[in-house]
This record gives sequence, C-alpha cells and structure tokens, in this order.
Amino acid sequence: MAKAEYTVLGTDMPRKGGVERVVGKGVYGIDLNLPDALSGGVLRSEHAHAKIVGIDTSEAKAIPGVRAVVTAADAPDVRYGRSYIDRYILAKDKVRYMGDPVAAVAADSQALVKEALKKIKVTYEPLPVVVDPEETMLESAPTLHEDMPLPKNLPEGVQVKNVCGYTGVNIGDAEAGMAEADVVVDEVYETKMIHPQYLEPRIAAARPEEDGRITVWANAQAPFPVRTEVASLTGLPLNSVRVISTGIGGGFGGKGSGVTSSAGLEPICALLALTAKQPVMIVMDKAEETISTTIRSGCKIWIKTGAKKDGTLVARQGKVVYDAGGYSGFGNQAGGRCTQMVGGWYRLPNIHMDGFTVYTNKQVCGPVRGPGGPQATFAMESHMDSIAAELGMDPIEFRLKNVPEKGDSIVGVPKLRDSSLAETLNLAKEKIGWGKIQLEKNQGIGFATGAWIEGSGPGGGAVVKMNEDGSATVHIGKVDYGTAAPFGIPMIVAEVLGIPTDDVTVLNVDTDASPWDAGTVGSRSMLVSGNAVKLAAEDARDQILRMAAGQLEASPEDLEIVDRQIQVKGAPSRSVSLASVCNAGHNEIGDVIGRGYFDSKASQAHERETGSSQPFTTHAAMVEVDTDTGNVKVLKYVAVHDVGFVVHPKAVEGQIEGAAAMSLGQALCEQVVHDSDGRTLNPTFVDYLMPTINMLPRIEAVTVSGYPGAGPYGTKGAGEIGSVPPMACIANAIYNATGVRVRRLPLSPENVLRALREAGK
Amino acid sequence: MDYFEPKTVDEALSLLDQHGEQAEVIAGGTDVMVDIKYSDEPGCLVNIKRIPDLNAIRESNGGVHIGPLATIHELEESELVRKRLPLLWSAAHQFASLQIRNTATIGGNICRASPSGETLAPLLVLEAEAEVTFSDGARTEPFSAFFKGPGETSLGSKGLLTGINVPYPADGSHAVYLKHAVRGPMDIAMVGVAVMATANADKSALDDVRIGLGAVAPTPVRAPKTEALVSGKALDAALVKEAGASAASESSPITDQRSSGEYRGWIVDALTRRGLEQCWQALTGKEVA
Repeated sequence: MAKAEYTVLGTDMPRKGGVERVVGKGVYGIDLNLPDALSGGVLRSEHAHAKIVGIDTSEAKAIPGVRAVVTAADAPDVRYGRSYIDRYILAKDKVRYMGDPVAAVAADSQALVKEALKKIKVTYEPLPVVVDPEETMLESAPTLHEDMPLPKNLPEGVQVKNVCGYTGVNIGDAEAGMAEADVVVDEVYETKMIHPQYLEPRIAAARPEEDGRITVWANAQAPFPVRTEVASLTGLPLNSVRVISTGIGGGFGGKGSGVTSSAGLEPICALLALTAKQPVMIVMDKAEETISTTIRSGCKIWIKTGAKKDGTLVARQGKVVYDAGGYSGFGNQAGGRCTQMVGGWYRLPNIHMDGFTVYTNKQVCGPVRGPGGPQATFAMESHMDSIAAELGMDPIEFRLKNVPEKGDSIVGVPKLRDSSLAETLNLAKEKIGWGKIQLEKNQGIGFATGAWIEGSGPGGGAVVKMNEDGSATVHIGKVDYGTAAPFGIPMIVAEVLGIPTDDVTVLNVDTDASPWDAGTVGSRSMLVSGNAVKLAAEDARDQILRMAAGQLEASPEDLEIVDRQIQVKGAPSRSVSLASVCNAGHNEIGDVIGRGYFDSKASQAHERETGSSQPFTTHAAMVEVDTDTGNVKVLKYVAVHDVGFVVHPKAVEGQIEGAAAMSLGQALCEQVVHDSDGRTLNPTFVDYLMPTINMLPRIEAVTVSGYPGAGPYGTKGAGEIGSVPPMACIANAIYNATGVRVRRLPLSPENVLRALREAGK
Repeated sequence: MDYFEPKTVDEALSLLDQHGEQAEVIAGGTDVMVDIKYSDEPGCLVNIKRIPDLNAIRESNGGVHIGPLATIHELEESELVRKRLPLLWSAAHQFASLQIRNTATIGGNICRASPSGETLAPLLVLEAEAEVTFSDGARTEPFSAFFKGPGETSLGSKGLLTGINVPYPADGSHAVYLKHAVRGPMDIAMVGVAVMATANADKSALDDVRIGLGAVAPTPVRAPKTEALVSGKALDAALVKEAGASAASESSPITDQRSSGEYRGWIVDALTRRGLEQCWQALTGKEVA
C-alpha cells in the first residue's frame, strides 16, 4: 500500500503534547500534585536472603506526623504473581533479594518518612545467598521458595531445584540431524542484568474516596492489571478501585507493573492510603529503582549447531538458564521467549532446546523491551557468524542460504505468508558498504538479524464518540507511551472520518471509563488499539453517513467525508457539514458512538490459516577496536527493518533509533553489578553506565515495504524489535576487526581486551 | 543538619574549628550533594562558595595562581591556562559534562582527594603547590605531600585550601593527559596518565620526563622509576615497551565495580606508552622507531 492512497497516514504530524514535554511542563507522573497528600516510602531488605523473625514498628508509629506504618500483617493473606503466585504485597516470613519491600510508611513529609523507615526494627535470620543462576539449580543450593513446585512440564528425569519455568523446543530430531552435519560449532554465551533506566522515576498515588472506593494514579504501562492487583492485595472489590494513568516518561517494560507482578508499588501505596485514611504519594528514588524494580535478566546460553559444507543448517541443540530473580515475575515468559529465539528464525529442520528459568537472590525479571530477545540474539547471531567462519563463508551469504521463505515455518510461527529477512540482509549489506568500504587496521563490519514474533495475546476495544462540532473523542486502553496514542490512533481516526488530527482527542486511560486492556506492552498498541479504533471510527462514520443520506438524497455507500464535509462521491457540491450532521444527531440518537474491537483469537486463527507476515530486521555496524585498551568505537550503524505499513515515519524512525541505542548500551557498557552477597554495587548513574551521546553513532533507520502485517493498514509492531540485534551486531563487527570472538557482555573495554589477550592478540 | 555560609576565609576556619569532624565543606556540591543523598548527613554544611575572590586565575611569580573556587569550566575558558598550562587545560576539558564543569570547582576536585580526580595527576606532574590555611596561619606545600590517602589530605578537618600555585613548565616542554573511561569524558577515569617532557638541545633525547598516574593507587602518584628510566634517553620501541611495564609496576590499582586491578595495570602500561610516544613525536618531530 503506497502512502499516496491516504490523506493523513504516512505523514509526519507533530506529536500531540510534544512541545509540553520539551519545555518541561508538568506532564509526567512525578508532576502530580494531590492536595493534602502524605509522602510515602518503602523499607527495603538489607539482606538478599533471610528469614524475617520479627518487625517492630512501634517506634516508627510513635513519631508525630507519621500517619501509617504497614507490613504484610496489615494486608490480606493473599499473594500475587504471573506464572507462579509467589509474592506478598510486602515480604512476609522471608526476604529474597536486597531491595525486597518489607514495610512502608506514610507521613507528613519526606524527611519524616526517612526517619520513620530508620526506626522500623526488622530482625532477620540470614540464610545462604545464591546469586548465580547455574548454582541455584544444584542440590546444594538454598531453597528460595519452599512451597513452590517445579514446573509441571519439566522433562522426566531432570534433577534441578529453584526452577520456576521450563520451555522446551522440539522440532524434528536434533540428534539425528547433528549426526549428518559436516561442521558442528558449539559455544557458550553470557549476558548480564541491565535495568531499563527510564528517566522519569516510578510513582504511585492513592486517595481513599468518601464512597469507600479508592483512586490510584500510576505511571504504569498497564492500568487494568494494576487495578486487579490493587483490589486483590488490599481486599477491596474490583469495582471499588479506579486507576488513572498519568503521563509516562519512558518505561521500556520496566513500568509494566501488574503485567509483571513486579515491585507492587501501587498496591503498597493504596494500603498506606487506606490505613492513613488520607491521600499518599510515593516517588521512587533512582537508586532505589535500580536495586528493587524489574530488570532485563542476565542469562547463560549454550548453543550447538550443525551445518552442511554448503552452509545449509541441519540441526541445533541448546540450553538456556534464565535468571528470574527472587520471584518469578515475568521470568518464565521472558526466559521462554529467549529459549525459542535461540532456536532462531532461519530454516532449520531439527531443533532441541531446554530453557530453565530459575530463582536467585536478585532483582526480579520484568518484560524489558523485547523480553528475552536481545539476549537470545546476542548468542544466536554471534553463533551464526562463528559457523560462517568455520565454513569459510561470507556471513551474509551464509545467512541468505538459510533465510525462511513464504510457506516455511520457523520457531513459533507455523506458516509464513511472506519473508522480508533476505531483503533486509541485502539492504543492510549495501548501506554499510560491505565489500566496498576500505577498512583500516582494527576496523571491522558486523551484521546481525532479528525477529520479534507477533504471537498470541489479549484483544482490546476502542470507542469513538462524535462531538457536535464534528470532532472526535477516543477511548482506548493503551496509555500514552509516545507511540500509538499520540500518533497512530489520532491519525487513523482522522483518516477514516475525514477530519484533521487536531480534531481528535485521545483520552487518558481511566479504568472507570476506558475499554479494558492488558497493557501497553509487547509492541501491540497498533495491533490491538489500532485495529480496534479503525473499526470504531468506521462504525461512527457509517452511523453519520446513514443520518446524512436522507438529507443529501443519496445512499450511504455513495457518500464520503472530506475535510469535515460529507459529500456525494463524484459530486462534491452536494454536501453538508459533518458538524451539522453530528449536531442533528442529538435529536435522533443523542450522539454517535462508534465501537470497535480487536478480536485476538480470530486474528490468530486467520493467520494460522493464511500464514503470517513477521517483522524481520538486519542491523549492520562498522567499528574500530583499540587493541591497546579494548575500547570499541562504533563508526557507522544501519538498522534495516520491516515493520509493515509505516503510519508515521518519524515515530518509527525514533522507535528504531531508541531501541538500537538502548541495546548498544547493553552491548558496550551497561550492567547491574552484584557482589556475592547479592548487593548491587552500582545503583546510581555515577556507576551504572548508560551510553552517553559521545559513544553512540548516528543510527540510520531504513524501512522496507511490501510485507503487510496484521495491524491496521498492514502495520507491524516497531517498539521492541530494534533492540534485538545490536549486541550480536557489535560482537560480530569486533570479530571482523580482530578475529576474536567475545562471548560475554558487555563488550566493555575490559572484556574485549581480556579476550584479545587470551587469544594472544 | 546545620548550614553555614561564611563570607570570609576566617569565618569559615572558625566554623571548622568549632565543628571539627562534624563539618563538611561544600563548594560546587557535585560530590557532596550525592553523598548527602545516599549516606548519612553530616552534622553541618559549610558552604564556602560565597567567599569572594577565591576564584581568581591570574599570573603570579612565574606561574599561575588559581583560586580554589574557580570552576572547571573557568579553567577551560581561561586563555592563560590554555596557553601556559595545556596539561591542566586538557584535564579540565576531559572533565565530565559541561553542566558538571560549570559547577564543580578545582578546589573541590583536589580536596575530595579521590585518586581518580581529573586535575590531580596533572598538578603532580606540573609540581604545583597547595596554599593551605588554618586558623593559626597559612603555609604552602607540594601536592605530593598534600594527598594522604583516598579522601584524605593534610587539611584534616580544620584546614582550607586557599590557593593553587602552578609554575610554568619549562619552555619547549610538551605534555599530554590521557584519560581512560568507558564513556570517555562522561565518566569517572579508570586510569588517568599525565606525561610531560622536554627534549635535549639536539632533539636526540628526552629530558626531565615526568609521569603522573591517577586512579591506580590510594592517591595520585608520580612514577619516579619510570621517569628515571626514560629521562636522558632517545625513545625507541623497546624502551617505550619497558617504560609501560615499569609504570604499571609502579601502580597499585584496586579492583572495584568499574574494572579489575589487573585491567587498570594494562591501561597504565598502554597510556604511558602512548603518552611517551606522543611527547617524543611532538618534541622531536619523529615517530618512535
């Protein structure tokens, strides 16, 4: 579909609320100012693993101005979780990582909160700590959750402990396949924990209402799951809880509370407000976030692949050990996705993978941008280069030899409707200048492909309400995350209704009014809310045209809306204004309310039938390695993506650049460092190194077209996939520059120089 | 926590006398404010930022006098520093972000006495002197005596750094400051190496080679054995290699969350070699062969 077919779609309209964000207006959660709100704060465990023998809050409660001190004893005996229901609102009986919330305080000032938190006396009985995900599986390791069973799907005969998720991939016969290989490459890769480090801190605010309900404000990505969690953990009926989304200053999955069952911040705040009978607001400190909220897990990946001499892949075997942290969180989902993606997205007839997600005494796994994908791809795409090198093949030619085509199946996708992988590879090769650019000493070029399989997930609805001036008010369940809500949604409504985007207001999510939604996660905003809003806007348009038809003495099918005018197709002089029809509607049906929904089950069934079109990508990087210090400078970076139909080119470019930059951070410098006691050694931005602009190259984002996806007008999710290839891409470029393969992240100067010295270079 | 804003050095010193160990001196606040947030508050804060005339940068007795309240950005902007103390200028230029350089003071960088402080190794190599003042009087001392350990200086809890006197380097000398950090200037140095040298008359050998090492010992240090090894000699590849290894052996780096001690040693080696090569080339017009 060429964009010329559309009036609004495909243009670069300015972001709604963009200027306000740039000039520092109070648009974020942290700017919320509730009258008479108390300050809230959380006491966090100083032990990574310990029994709680007793908690004495009497001294803290006695401080004048302290309005509430709560522990697990003040909440219903209910746990939360996603795959495993393994966590209390505040730690009860045991703490399982340093940062685990133990008690909370609400007081008249932040200073009083700090003082009261110090006065809470917790008696701990320290237990042995396990931070290593392999060690935790051994019989000798301490047990983290006494009452959590091993996963039901664990293969027979596997002797493990502290495992809270298992994913197996079994395609063909990997052992037999491996026996037929001419070349077998067997490697081990390792990635480290990173924190998503959105710049706006997490907040929660709660206000008990006079009618017995409670209103909660959160800069969370998933207001409805937050509502569920608040209701269940405070013992309120669901309809007594109202969650309102505030503006969000970045989240990257880290603010996916409710979805991830992570830090429990909103329920804790609600419990404080209910106890104090006053509004309470908690603003998290950045260092507190780094040690306590959800993270992208580190993992260890064993990968072994067999290939024929001509480069044809024949079999893969592997294992993933994925660190969930102190609670299951999103570990099983992320670890499972990671395991599948180590299986790859190439033609590969025989695959066997075992993926274990394990408890350790560390921060809890969340759904950080492409959960599991960047880690899997670091291993899988580095490994592809290792195989190419073993075969003596060009890395691009080797990949092209194995790309899937129309009708093929890949892990997680039974049938492909088309495949853009080859086109992205060829374009990345051309754009980076592979084989053409003259490389100097210690310079190299690397490639890595990526996929982000659009699989199953919940549906969602949308409502388009017409106002009497012809403008539209839109309800969706996805929050304004800087993507669909300010760009795609108003553009679709404007396109369908023939009105300017300025006439479309997308409402903030309020669980009392908005359609239910599973959360602004998984690159699914356009797929779910975009499809729903398209149908809702079409429903509204059809109602309007039916009302206008009588006035214009034409049938509704012969009418169209152009520039706020309803006109007869081919005879634009026969027209009436959209406003007058909407206004007249007051006398008939009140107002025009269009409704639409994305039926996820039906969509999946359709895709199984016709095959699905998946987003694929290839990134290419040119680097220079300082072989004296191990420093890697990225000189050039190209990210070629198939994201289906592009609704807003600049927004897509921004998504790709942001996602690539985020993973370049993990590639080059980012990691959360722990000591053997489970203490985070680099909680602040002084020591937690995010990449600064002087480290990052210009990222050239390129999109290919012609592979429409399941989203409205053929879009595909664009938010996460850009974070999938960069780590492998840089590792491959380092290999090309130096001949040395670095299998452990980050590709920091020290790790690179160590690898170079070990290789005798 | 009490807060004081003395208007004179005397007033500040009497506050320090009165409050002793309880008092924390603050100027730019780029370190102190972070400490207050993440560790226990000091008994009181003595903000010396309002004391007038402590931020001068001027020529004085064959060198440059720098007031301790001069910001890093003021050093970077000073023509005098740029022309006459290019080594110090280079360290100031590689000092964090512009926002930090606008706020942080050279006195704060020095008195913090962090081994990784950006200006410290250059001051050692420039053989600068500290003007230290106590309530019973002032004295000057070389920075080699001033730094006692991480966070410890000869000021103790009752002295103030009131001036920094930097003699002009010898005519025709060349110096480089090489910083190694993951994010370059936007990061705390894992290793900083300052190298300064002159050439002999016929440019056949280096004279008066000085090497300062930052972040690889409890205080910033000179590398005297390495300096002696290369002074008076023509540089060749073998000597450069030997000098790198020698400087590494003169350092005693620790392992922390930023890097291992072993790696820091490798970097001292690499940056010393690089610094010597750059000086040799600038002074003789020849590459190290």
